[in-house]
Amino acid sequence: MTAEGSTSSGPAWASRRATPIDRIDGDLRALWAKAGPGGAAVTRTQTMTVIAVCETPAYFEAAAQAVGIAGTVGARTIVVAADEPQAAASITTEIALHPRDGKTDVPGGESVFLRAHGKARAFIPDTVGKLLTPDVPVYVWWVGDLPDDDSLFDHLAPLAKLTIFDTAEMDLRDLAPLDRLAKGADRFALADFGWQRLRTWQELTARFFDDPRAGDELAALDEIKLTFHPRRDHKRTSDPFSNQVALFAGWLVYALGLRLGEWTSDLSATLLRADGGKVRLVLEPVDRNDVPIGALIAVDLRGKDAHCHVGRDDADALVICWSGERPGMPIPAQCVRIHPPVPGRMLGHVLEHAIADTLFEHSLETAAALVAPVAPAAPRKSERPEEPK
Amino acid sequence: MSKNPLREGLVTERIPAPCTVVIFGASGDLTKRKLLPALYNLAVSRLLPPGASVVGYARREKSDTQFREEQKANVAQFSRRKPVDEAIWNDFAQGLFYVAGTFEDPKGYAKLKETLDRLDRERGTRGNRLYYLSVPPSEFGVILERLREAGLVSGPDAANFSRVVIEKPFGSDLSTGEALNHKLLSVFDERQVFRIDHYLGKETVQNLLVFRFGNSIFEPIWSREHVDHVQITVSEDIGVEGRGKFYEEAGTTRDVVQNHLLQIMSVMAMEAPVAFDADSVRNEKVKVVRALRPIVTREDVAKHTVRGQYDAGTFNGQAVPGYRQEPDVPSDSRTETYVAIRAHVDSWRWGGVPFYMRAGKRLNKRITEISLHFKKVPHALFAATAGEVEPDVLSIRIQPDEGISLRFMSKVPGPTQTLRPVTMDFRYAGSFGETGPEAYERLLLEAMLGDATLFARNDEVRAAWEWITPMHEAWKELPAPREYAAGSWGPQESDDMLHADGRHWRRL
Repeated sequence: MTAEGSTSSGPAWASRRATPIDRIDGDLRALWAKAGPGGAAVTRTQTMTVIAVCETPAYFEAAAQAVGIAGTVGARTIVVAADEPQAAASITTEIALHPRDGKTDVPGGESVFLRAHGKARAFIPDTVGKLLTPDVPVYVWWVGDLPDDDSLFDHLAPLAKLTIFDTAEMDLRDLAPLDRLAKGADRFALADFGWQRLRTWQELTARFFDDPRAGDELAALDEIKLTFHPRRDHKRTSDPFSNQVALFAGWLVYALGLRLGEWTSDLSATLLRADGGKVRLVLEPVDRNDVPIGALIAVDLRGKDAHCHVGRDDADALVICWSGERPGMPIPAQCVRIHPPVPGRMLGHVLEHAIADTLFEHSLETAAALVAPVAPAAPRKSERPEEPK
Repeated sequence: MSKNPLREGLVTERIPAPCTVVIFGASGDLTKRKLLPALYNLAVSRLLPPGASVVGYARREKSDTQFREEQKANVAQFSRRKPVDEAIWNDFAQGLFYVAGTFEDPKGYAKLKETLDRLDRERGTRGNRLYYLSVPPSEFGVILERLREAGLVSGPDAANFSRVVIEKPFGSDLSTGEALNHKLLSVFDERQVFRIDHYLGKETVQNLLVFRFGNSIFEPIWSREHVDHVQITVSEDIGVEGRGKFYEEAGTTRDVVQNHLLQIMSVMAMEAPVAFDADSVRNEKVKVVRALRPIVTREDVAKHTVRGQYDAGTFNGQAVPGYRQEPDVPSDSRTETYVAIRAHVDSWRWGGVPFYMRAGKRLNKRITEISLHFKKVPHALFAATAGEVEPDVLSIRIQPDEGISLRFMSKVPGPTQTLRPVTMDFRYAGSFGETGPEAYERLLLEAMLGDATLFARNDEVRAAWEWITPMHEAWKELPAPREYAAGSWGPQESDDMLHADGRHWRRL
């Protein structure tokens, strides 16, 4: 995860300032009261609370920037990190307002920054609970790795309507525990930036088959090929491909009613259609340094006579073009631009459609099962044998 | 496999079927400023289907390449997104074509048919056409007839769609409105006709439905039980801007009241529809217009309406001419540039609640707003210390600075019971970060999707003309419109009309 922009310059209310924990609300009110042009009061709209929990303190600054950019919807954002486990227990708190649309001089939301030191990590749920805005939904963004028997997650997730992860930050073997988390979560739904990044790819792939005459081609599919940008040392890691590739494959397998036959190598598998026919799944690593590691580069679906291709433009990785061949049916190419997949924007998009996505949950379940033979799930902390002291 | 399984559960925007948008009047101002920028923005927003094509049709000879270059310059100037995204433009421009022809000449339509058939073959547009008549109403008839003769219109139940979008004015009175309707419906079915009113494409107008029917606290007070009166203002600060000839024929009543103002009013006053679909919503809207109490006799028209015409004045510190000094306006013009109407919706919900409506040009501010003025409290509990308590006002700002405000009374801090009105303010810009699409983007998309909810239906237009036409007839026999200074809020008589009822226009 990388930082986006900075709030260090700009109006005074956008700069972080230390505030005692019991004065956070009052000091925020005071900031709003004089944040307008010429020191005038600004109307404070409160539509949601977003809690960004940084699993690793190193993520803190980047998450703080991201929520500021995403929090244009009248949100209170609370960015939390625990660090220095050996330090004396204490919590430091800061506050700031963030600009309305990330670029104007008028505030549109407010942020609280909490850093818990030492054993004060245990005080975070109580502190965060006091800072929630009444009567508006709460969203938890878990920044970093999947929580592993983490009491902080267990306390905060039930507060949320939606808990957001980023599978791009995880290993393939984390898909299974994430799937278990999704199944066990009855009070909150899961969202994933990784899934969000696939939306345009899914839309363009689905578009090929919108023509009623094209439907039968899906039933006669021979090959699915997903091209992606691998880690440089991908041949030496336990992950032969990325979670983005796995989720996209999981979606196709689920939506088309396919099932896994067998993996013929780390990067190719045989899938079985309901009629017993075979579909080859080919995952092809291709170096492309202008996209993030693990990102899709192209999707190719082939049938007997038809071919659908969705791929990044050679010159501009943020332009995705769509083309195909189908006997007797014209298929004009089409290009669309995707937004840079930065966390602030991703968070904004997820919050715009903050509802349970059952297709994601089904695709995640399918992806976890699909990758299990090549990336077995790791046991949770509580299931692992205790390490010798 | 008939249904696309890859669509199941996919959270995607609504994308229309591949189609060609044919713009008649492709050299005009609307195409340049609104239509092409809107279509380009739909492409940027990934809302256009694959193969989506646009064919410009106008008199002047030009090649596809010239048309593309011109439109690129227009998009660069008028699009809400700047600069032009080269990759998206290049892709979008491949679907732009031009056919030269007059509106009368059948040969032009033969060329058009040839082009459209070729696009079906080469771009997979499947015979789906959206005809946009960006031309004066006098040209509608011949275009519709030629389209039919050229075999360019398929029926409402055909596998491929043919739809037509027309811009106001939908006639100039009841009889011309009916004649236009007759022409339209002799070629297209009502289900294929999309009468555009860009006010209905505005987010705040759509939000009015959500505000009323997506919340439970407002609807119970949205009636004669609690509302004293309603005010609707559609105010422009500009003059006729070189459109004197058009305005002489239209006037404010035809230009704004018959369409925008009555559309806003019907959304504001309608009953809850049984479903959020085109017919259910429009069934309720038309009932409101039909329930408007007729203002027919000269006496009634004189009593319930005020007309005005702007005189020279100042605007933003600059001297501006009066209406009669504008180009193409006769020096003895009797055309109104301002109108105020005291209306009543004779329905169970609104019986006895006056609706004060005003619209005009060269007024003090550009603002469109609906305000509900609630009844006074039944007992003046604080009269001794606070004097008269001002009634609560709920205002819905449609443009600019879209939002909703509630004014209510509050106690001033201190030992005495002093009361002061305060405002709770919801502003779209403050609560939602991203700017919404322009009205034309939304409406073009809806027309391509075939959803007519945000378009006027023929019975709505007819009902509006039935209400407006008698006023026009009576005005011919009444004194000329009253003058008002440019930059003011209209003629004094407008204020007097409300004062006579013990009310006043809300200060905006």
